[in-house]
Amino acid sequence: MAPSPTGKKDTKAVQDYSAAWTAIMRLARAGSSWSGRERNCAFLNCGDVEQGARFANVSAVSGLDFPDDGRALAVTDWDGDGDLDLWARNRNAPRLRMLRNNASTDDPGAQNWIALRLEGRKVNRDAIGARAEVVLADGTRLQKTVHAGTGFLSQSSKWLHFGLGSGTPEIRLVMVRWPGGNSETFVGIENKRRHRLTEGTGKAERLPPRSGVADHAASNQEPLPASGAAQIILPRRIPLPTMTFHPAGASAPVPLQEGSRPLLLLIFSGHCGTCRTEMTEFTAEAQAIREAGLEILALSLDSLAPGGDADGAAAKLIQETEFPFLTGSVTAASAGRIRHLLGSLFDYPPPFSVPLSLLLDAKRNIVSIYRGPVALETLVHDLRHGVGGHIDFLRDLAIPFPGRWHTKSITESELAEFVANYFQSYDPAERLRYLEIATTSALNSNRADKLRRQVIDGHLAWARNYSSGGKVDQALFHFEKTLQLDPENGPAHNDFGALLANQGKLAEAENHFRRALVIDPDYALAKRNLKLLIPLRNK
Amino acid sequence: MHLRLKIVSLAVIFLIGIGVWMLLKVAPPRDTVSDDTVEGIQPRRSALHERPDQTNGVDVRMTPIKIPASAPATAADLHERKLDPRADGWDGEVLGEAALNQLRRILASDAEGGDAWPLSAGFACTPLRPNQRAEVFRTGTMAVHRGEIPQEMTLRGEAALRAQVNAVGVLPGTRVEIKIVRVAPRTDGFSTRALVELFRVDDRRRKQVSARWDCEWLHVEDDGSESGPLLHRLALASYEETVATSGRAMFEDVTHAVIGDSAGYRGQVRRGMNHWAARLTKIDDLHFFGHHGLAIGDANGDGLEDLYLCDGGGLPNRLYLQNADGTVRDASAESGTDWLEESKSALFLDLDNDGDQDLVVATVALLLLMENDGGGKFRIRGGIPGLPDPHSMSAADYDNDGDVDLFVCNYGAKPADAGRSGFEATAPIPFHDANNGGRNVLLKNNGKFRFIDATREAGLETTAGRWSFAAAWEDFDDDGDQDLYVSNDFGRNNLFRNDQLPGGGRRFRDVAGELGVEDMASGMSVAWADYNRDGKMDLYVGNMFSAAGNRITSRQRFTGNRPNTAKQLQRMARGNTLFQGSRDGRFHDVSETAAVTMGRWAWSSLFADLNNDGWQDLVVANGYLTNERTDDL
Repeated sequence: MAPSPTGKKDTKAVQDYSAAWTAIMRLARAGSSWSGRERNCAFLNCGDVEQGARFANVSAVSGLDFPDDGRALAVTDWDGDGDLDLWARNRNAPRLRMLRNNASTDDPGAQNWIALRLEGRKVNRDAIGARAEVVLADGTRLQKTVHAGTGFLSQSSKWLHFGLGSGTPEIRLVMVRWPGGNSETFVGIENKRRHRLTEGTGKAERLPPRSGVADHAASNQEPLPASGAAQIILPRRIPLPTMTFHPAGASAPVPLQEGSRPLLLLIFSGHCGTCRTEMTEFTAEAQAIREAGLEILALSLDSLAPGGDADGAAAKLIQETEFPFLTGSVTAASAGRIRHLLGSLFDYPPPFSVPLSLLLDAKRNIVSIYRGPVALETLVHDLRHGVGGHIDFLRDLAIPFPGRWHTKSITESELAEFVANYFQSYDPAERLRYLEIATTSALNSNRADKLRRQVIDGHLAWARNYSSGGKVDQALFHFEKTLQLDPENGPAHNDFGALLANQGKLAEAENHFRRALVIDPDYALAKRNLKLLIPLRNK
Repeated sequence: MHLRLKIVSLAVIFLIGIGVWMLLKVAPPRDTVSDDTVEGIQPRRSALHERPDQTNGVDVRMTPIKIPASAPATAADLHERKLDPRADGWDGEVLGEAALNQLRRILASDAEGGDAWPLSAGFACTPLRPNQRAEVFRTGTMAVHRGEIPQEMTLRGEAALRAQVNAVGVLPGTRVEIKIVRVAPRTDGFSTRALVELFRVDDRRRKQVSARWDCEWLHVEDDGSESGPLLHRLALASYEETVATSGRAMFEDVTHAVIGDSAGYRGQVRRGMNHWAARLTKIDDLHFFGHHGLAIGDANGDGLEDLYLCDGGGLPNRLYLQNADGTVRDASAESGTDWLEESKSALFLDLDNDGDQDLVVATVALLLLMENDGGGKFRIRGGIPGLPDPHSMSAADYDNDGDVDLFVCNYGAKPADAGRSGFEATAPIPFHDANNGGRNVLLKNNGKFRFIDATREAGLETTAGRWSFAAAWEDFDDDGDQDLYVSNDFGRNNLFRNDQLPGGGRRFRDVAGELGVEDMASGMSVAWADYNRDGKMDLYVGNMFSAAGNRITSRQRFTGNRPNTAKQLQRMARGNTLFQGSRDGRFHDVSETAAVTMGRWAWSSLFADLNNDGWQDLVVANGYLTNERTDDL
């Protein structure tokens, strides 16, 4: 727990506090609950009660106390039977409940009511803001206002529903105060009826009682069984993160290259029974898979386990299933990048599990993601429509139900930047790679320039970081990248020069200091460095 | 991602086909030169497809794999470790959990004749059910019983406690819920306050007990048995019994019967956000928070109420039209309202005063303004761009010019970025009084579906960007114009009084402080009604109640050297607030005496006369994130 800073100026405290937010949300996304399974509440207004509080807790006795993650609530006499029903919108399943009120049917004390729909003529037609006051013969006065939008993300009915208590209430009149302040008295209002009250008429229009409503059966909408399996087409193809693997039998890792045909990258474990089933099926379907134009690369994760792949389970599985496609094992860094990529795409990614496969196009962009085994039928469909289809169609393939869009699909460049931003807090090097993709695919030069700036700053930061950490090769690489993209970067020339000088490459170092001074003749640091360098060179 | 609007500029439309000059000649004059509505929005229906789907009901065994970290730990990683209260030195949290486990053992209904209860040798308690009880309220089939709270610790030993637990109604089949809301250390142990709720159904009788228990616990020597603390004293602090005798519950879930077994029901109602947040991407704004609202209105003018549902990015919003028998039919596609963009809320409003219900939908990209043709078909008339993070909307005619205007709450200051939005994109600072949230907007209706941003002109442009979740209009001062209450997360709320200027204009002034309704807490919702029938409007504000928040903020270590801030933070976790309006215009916080604070982690908190007795009751939707694990952060 981190204390909240009291002002934005305390940068360290702000960072610390923000990191605490990130941490708690990470736990929630890893399956922890946070005020979960809380039951809805209902408090009964006991009127002018003599003993204790005015409200009594009837959450459970009323039947409203579902343990949902509730959000929106709307009140309406949906079935017109004279009591207020509720529509509830939840975060978790079921996401919707129609909660029928049985009071007017079951409770002899809940039989008296009226409902009023106000209609403006001079004032707004919906009469929003109009207040109706019901005056009963015994002097009771009840008032309600027409609202449009109360609660959280909710709009209840514009009908004003008044319960009138038990006994035989006599309705004397209804006084309406229209927006602006004009009052109007309405008569002709009858118990247990719905009425329309139109501005300027002074007389209530009685509406016929509702009939023909079915007696709907109650059910608790038990949750559907959860499944970790999913076949996901992405709304746009995403470049695979940097991926290296050990081909079967090879000790040195190799990068995954572009190819001439699509590839199913299957990640498995020798200890996973479902993987065995899936790979057995792929063996049986090998010919059909190849005819569909698909190659498979199956990579084992077993070497990442604490003891490594000591028992050779992955190799055994491949041997026993006579798996006829390419195989190997994945490096920890590559597996981590795939996990982070999934984290960048999904707000509630399930725990990293196998079998997991990615359908890649020839350029090694991810088209779809399969958690659990994937059937040949699905692969064939996704090859045809996902890999081979029009790019705009992907967004429609990604959604489970039809609908309409008013926004355009994300661009290739925006998507790469989206992924890059996520990688920032996990793998800054991979972030740069995605930023570079975003730069090269940017649709206009302004955006490209902005992104290029980020890439340059990123490389320079890495170069300096490696430089001070004594990792010379990496530092050289990033300095060269920086200057390749931004040849006029004075500070980069200076810092690169300093690194070279320390490596004894004095001539090259001098060149860079001089370049820095051509760019900015008043650059004090470069001047000083050059001054230090010259006597060394002369030695 | 919200800025990828498909907007064709007017100029482009003009140039297509016909000469510009001709069109300018016939184009109707604009109502205003400076409105903020964009037009030319061109929706696109998604292509129909049928993709093989093997996910339904297939239970596949997957093997989870832990990938070793290959990068150094970040600040968030370090915090994640600290979030375990044991590691962070919050011993109170550990004690609270131990007490909870012991109370659960005692109240486990199958404990009869089982292991001995964890009681101290000198254990004593008050009766757990008042001996003198009276029916203090009854309506038809529901009754409320209360009684004098016994003060004396007259009972001793396990047998006496067993008899009390039995008398209070803990029997096989009783549902027991316990929340520890306060922990304080003592010399030889510690004390706790627990909220206890019991519920059981016997034949045709439903009975609920809501009680508060104050407990004292003694530490035991650590003998390795992990037996936990011993209950030493138990005192009843409050008690209430409610009973319903109608047989079936007052409220029953009839959703399945009303909606039927359509794809929209199976897929969208019976699957929660966690399901979709593992399958639909953040690229199209699918997040797991589930902040999606609903609106009730008569969409097709047949006199029956209909339902509009908002949903997450990639899931279509739904319009369900009501049939005569009370069931619904899905009219989402044919009505033109099945938006796939993430939508937080919607309102049915007659925006052009022609007698039908138009529709406003707050999507992540635009506030869409749709005109009803009178029969339930909707056409886009324009949209309001530039809203960073729209949540609840509330409508009223604030300038009394005869048409309804719109107030839109914007929670965060920035639209979703790289899949993060709200407090994940920008940390609210300071937590108890944050002013770095979104800019709320007042949209003035200029007729013909044209709206202008009147926020500044009306004086609603506050210097502090509050984290506003909800707002509601009401003429609380009875002067004929609509005032506005805004409920804000992470800090104080606003009550904007609508004042008429001498020149005829309108100016809002924030009077929340002077009228006593700032309610510094985590505001999620607001509703107005006259709950005590005194003719003055009252306010119910939905807030966060957090048992953990209550425990921690009441501890000495937390309050330490910042008593004022600590007090404010304690208030943040108290729960819902009921403000009673009075003749002098001020409001009085009656939440605790009215016993309506414990709405848990509340969202929509509304007034409704549930039993037609003429008194406004309260209903609260609550709960934040229910995930696989039953722990509680």
